[in-house]
Amino acid sequence: MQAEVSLREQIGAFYALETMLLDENRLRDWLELIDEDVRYVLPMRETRLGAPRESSAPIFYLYNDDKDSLITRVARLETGMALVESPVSATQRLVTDIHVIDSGSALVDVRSSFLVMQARDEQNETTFAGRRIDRLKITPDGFRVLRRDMLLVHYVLPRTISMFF
Amino acid sequence: MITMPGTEIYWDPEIYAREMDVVFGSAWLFVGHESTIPNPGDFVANYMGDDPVIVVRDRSGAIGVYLNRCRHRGNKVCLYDSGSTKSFRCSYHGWTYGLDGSLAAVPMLDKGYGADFPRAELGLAAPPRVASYHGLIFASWSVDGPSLEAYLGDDLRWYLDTFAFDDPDGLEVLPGRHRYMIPANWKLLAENFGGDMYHFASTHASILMLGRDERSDRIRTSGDRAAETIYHSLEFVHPSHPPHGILQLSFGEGANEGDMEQAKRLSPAAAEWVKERHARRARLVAGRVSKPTAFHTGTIWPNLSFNGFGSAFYARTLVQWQPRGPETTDVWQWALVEKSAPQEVKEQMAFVLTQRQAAAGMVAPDDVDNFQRMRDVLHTTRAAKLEFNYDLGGSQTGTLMPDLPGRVMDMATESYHRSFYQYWGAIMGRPLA
Repeated sequence: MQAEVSLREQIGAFYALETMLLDENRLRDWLELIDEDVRYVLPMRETRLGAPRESSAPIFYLYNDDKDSLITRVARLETGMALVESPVSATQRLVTDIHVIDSGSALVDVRSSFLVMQARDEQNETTFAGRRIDRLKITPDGFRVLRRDMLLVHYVLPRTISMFF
Repeated sequence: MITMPGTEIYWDPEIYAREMDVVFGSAWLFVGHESTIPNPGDFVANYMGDDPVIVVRDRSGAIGVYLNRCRHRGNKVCLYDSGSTKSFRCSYHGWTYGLDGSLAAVPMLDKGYGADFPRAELGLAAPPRVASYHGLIFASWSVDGPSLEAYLGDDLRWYLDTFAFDDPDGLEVLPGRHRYMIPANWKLLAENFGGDMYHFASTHASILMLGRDERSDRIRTSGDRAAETIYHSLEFVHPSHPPHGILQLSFGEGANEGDMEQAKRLSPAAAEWVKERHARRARLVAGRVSKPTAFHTGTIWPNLSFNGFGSAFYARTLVQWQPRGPETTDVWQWALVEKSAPQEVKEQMAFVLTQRQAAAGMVAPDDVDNFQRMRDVLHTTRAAKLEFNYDLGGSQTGTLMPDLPGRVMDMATESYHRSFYQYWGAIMGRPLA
């Protein structure tokens, strides 16, 4: 029990570091927490009656990223010419409900809830809420995000997305 | 030069209400794609203007479009984005409709309503006309007016047949539909996709500024890679149909070479597929003086836009601007791929679209920021007295390529915007001077 609490606290500290880096727009530092082999995936939520449509075609995701494409996204924001983040948004992230699903000596699977408020251009405020299941890799330098499966609560996104969750 | 309407057309609730009736009541409106409802009982929900509709395949295999509203007390009868069902049952009192929209069952029918009950007349309300074009289903509330083919027009259809629907197996819609809100009138979005090549260099400068390394080349379109590619804009204006527009009609071998470069990196099957695709298109333009290789973006009047056709490695996308009040648009976006493509090509197409013109991509969100800022100063007291400027390319006359269908223009033009509002003004009873 004590070990479990300790692991959850360590993960909580890791998420606190992540949210701080993202909210302070230190995106290169945030990328350091992302494993080289990451899968970063966010599908769109839809309602469906009955079985899913049979299709071998790939899914049209919101995020379907690897480390290289996350780096490209950050590089674009760094140009200073990306309208979505020039000027930079004010954001405040909350990550909570940290629940360890499974843990081993090398990997931990964790479910958490998140809420982000984004403010731009005076009073244009957007809130995104969702949950995610992470597979974290345990390294000598701390946790690294190896897989992040996210799901937003929104059926209709309140705005396009230009941030990381 | 015509005098454009004032900016009240982007915020006035009365103008908006009339548009919902006149513009969305007369047009052919996109409601879905046949590939998403392959079997009897399959349905998708959509909107025609601000009215929710259900698009359903009935037992005979025919596709019907119905207003999503019970004829008893006006409750919605379908609460899902898509699915498969045997009937649509209203949750309030239980009136139940068949897959053909007919009123199939009414609780306490005999006791409550008697023998004279006109059940046959109380099926779901339906737009009188439904038609398909290469799998795209359209419906219209107007009893008369041009057929769907005539509405699209011979000229636009030549480009669509050649560069959008040329795959022998057709296009299929990928699972996953993006949906997001933009604080802007639907017309500003339709005009952008139909004719606004002008904004790209400024609004999307960040994507053009990414270095030319292997990492960022993954999300480039074949056109971006090819400096020698020449782009033109196109408009389709004819008394027999509403105006439509196309952007980035490309010429030169640049885009094809870009496609092939990517294909070779992916797999031998991808290279073979791209080779066949180019050969097929070359055959389709053979014998013409001007030989375009692709187009990228466009708008079909009034609110269906498309994008991603300019490269073999960019999923084709349909974007529908669903009006939600004068200053708000609910954007629906589908991704499509050519069915004949190898799986690894389909995956690359979906990936590139996700990274670019999609709800969390590196292109669409920049447009949203512009539109939000425009909305913020749209009808403040002094701002509302000022007009927008729609003069770009006003001195261009005729077409640059008389042998091609439609009017081919230098891309530095807002001619499509002017044609758009001229038609809009005419049908709204507000003719432009």
